Amino acid sequence: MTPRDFIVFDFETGSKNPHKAQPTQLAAVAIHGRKLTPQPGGFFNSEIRPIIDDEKAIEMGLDPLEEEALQITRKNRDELAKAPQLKQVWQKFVDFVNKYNFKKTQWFAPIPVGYNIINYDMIIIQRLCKEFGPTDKTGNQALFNKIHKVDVLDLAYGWLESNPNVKSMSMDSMRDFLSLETDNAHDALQDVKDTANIFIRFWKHQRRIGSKTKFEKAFADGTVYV
Amino acid sequence: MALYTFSCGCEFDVVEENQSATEEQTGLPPIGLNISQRQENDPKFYQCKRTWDLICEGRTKGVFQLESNLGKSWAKRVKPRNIEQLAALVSIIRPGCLKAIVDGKSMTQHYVDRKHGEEEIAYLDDSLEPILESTQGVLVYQEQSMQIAQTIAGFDLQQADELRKAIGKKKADLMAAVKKEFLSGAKDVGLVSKETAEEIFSWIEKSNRYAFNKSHAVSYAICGYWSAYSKAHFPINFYCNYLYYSKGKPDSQREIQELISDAKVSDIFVHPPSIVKMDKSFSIHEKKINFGIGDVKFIGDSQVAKTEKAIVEATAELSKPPLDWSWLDFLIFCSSKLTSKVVTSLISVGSLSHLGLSRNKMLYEYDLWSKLTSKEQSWVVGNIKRSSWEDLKECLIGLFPVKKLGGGTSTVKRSEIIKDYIHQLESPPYSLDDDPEWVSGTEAELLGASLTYSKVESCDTAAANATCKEFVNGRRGAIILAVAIKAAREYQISRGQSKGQNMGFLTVEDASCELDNVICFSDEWKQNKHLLYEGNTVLITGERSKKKDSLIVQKVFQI
Repeated sequence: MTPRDFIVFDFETGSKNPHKAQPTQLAAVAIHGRKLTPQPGGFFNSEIRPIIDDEKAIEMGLDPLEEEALQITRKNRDELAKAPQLKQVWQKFVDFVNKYNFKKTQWFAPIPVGYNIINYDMIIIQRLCKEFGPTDKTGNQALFNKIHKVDVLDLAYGWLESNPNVKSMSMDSMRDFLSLETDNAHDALQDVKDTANIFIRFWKHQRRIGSKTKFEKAFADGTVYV
Repeated sequence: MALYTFSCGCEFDVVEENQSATEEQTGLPPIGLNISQRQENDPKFYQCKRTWDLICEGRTKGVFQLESNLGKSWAKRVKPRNIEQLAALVSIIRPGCLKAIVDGKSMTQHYVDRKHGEEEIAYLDDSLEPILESTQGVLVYQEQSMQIAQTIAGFDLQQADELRKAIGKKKADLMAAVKKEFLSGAKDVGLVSKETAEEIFSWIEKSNRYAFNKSHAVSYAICGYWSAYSKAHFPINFYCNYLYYSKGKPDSQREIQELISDAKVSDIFVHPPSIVKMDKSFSIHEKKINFGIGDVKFIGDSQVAKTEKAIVEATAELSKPPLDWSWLDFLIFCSSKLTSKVVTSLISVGSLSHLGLSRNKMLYEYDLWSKLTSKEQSWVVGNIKRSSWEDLKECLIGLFPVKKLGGGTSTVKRSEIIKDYIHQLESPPYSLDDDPEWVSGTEAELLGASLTYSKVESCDTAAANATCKEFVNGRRGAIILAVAIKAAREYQISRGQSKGQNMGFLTVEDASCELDNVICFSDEWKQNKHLLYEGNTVLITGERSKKKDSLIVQKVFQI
């Protein structure tokens, strides 16, 4: 199969519910599909201005900014008030992702990668695609690849589920277990870099083993598990 | 009339008219280029060393009948030095001759080996020598069969022509009749024995697989020589014209790529179109070939006309020519008169690179500028002349306050949006530098070829010890090339020890030129196939093949 590029991305948000949380930062790194190396100049990072006024946010069906979330992401309302609005950042992010869609179709669009993206960040992506575009005819996001996505949380779980030294699958535990520095944790760009490193480590390992494993006609002898 | 003399001794009449302008463009005075009128009867014309060297070195891209890889490769092996030999070359590289295997070698190879004294020339009978001497004893032409029939069997011209037709049409009954006539004639003439006559006839019969018409071959050779002569003496004009007419070729993109790569070997570089020069198609400026605006994908004839009109209008508004424009001048006074597709295409291919900004920065700023409402754009246009704004950010700082505060926005909401744009200009969310891989890919998409960079230039190429051009120019020994793979073709071996196994043929390129004869034999192909795919950038170690001018791959590393 023709390899697609990967975009490892991460939102920092002002609350925990992905259906209503306001993004406060978006970062991404583009990874070359075959080489598994960062694309030259392939980093994206922008803070995003949320609706600072809590009542107005609620009125618009969004969660107000939660102090706990702001503390974790080391942001404050005054700084965020100077950031560009979500729509402008989103349009630039779309431009950034499209740079790595080398055939300009959703089938060849980059594959989204992130930590816990299936339950969190991809929901925000779907929401923003619906609000600002692009979407396909069925209303689904048309920014990233139509078929594939890689949640590094699940990828790591597959390799580490039986490892007694892994205490939990949280990003912080992963950092600890893999000896990644934790200084700038919860900054979207740093989280994206860490996630990209974990992703590349496991993906390379997987490719190496995959290339040496014969899967063809694996059930030809009639032996099945279920 | 004055004469211009090339280093090879070829002389041309200098046309006095517009001398300095022509010299500035091509490096040559304005000389009469009409080869057929000026030179066709001059025997010296067909003895030009520069032209024959070009053919013998296989630099025959664009040379009539010899521009394929096959033509280039056999030109180097045959090394023709006159029209007779060139006609033979044109004839023996046809499929019939290449596939006619005698004593384990193709007739083409027999010709080459005999020409270079590596194989003895033997004739079935001494009487054949005068007929076949010029083609090293190989029956290359149908006319030679006719001459043999005349000499050996006493055929008249009509009978000889019937022989040619019988061979060509492969009709058994006709052949049998002609054979009978041939053997009877041979007996009457008495020059050769019956057995030799039969052997000669059988040989003529078999030649139908490859023998070519000599009159065609010589005409082709003369046309081929003329095109080689043009290339040898007027290379810039040659490439510019071939590029101009490449659109008519079946695979014009491939043709453009090959011509550009071939030109690089002669240190002739093709440049992106420029809004300063505003040519519609390929043209020559200051000894360089430039793409035209109309050669860019998405820019058709009507868009070229609109672009020309926009530039004329903006020139009048700015009271200065495009060469003196700043990026801000183009952005504000010209870009709004063009479609977004045209502007982004022009920027992406480097038509505004003389302004000194990265293409990505220009695309980024154009995107923000085009998001302004037409009233906001008009406000900037109306105010820029009485302000000292030097870039888009300063324009937007002037624009963002609402009108009653002296700005150009109509609502607070719009004002907020413009503030965001200012922020995005101050802190772009991604790098606006031009990555060579991006430039190379974009130019390939929009122009059909990468001009400014090769994809490999974004990689670590420090381990390479040679360039493709150095290899083309004859470098020997251990070769390490850092290249991007342009094409990888897998081929199943049909003969020899490795029969049934796969091997690979690669076309690779670096910044210097393209190399289309890289061979990866079965073991190396098996080991490295996963790296040898189109678009990948690799380090290839290898050495030159013994007989051919191919690079034989030994090891491959990802870079």
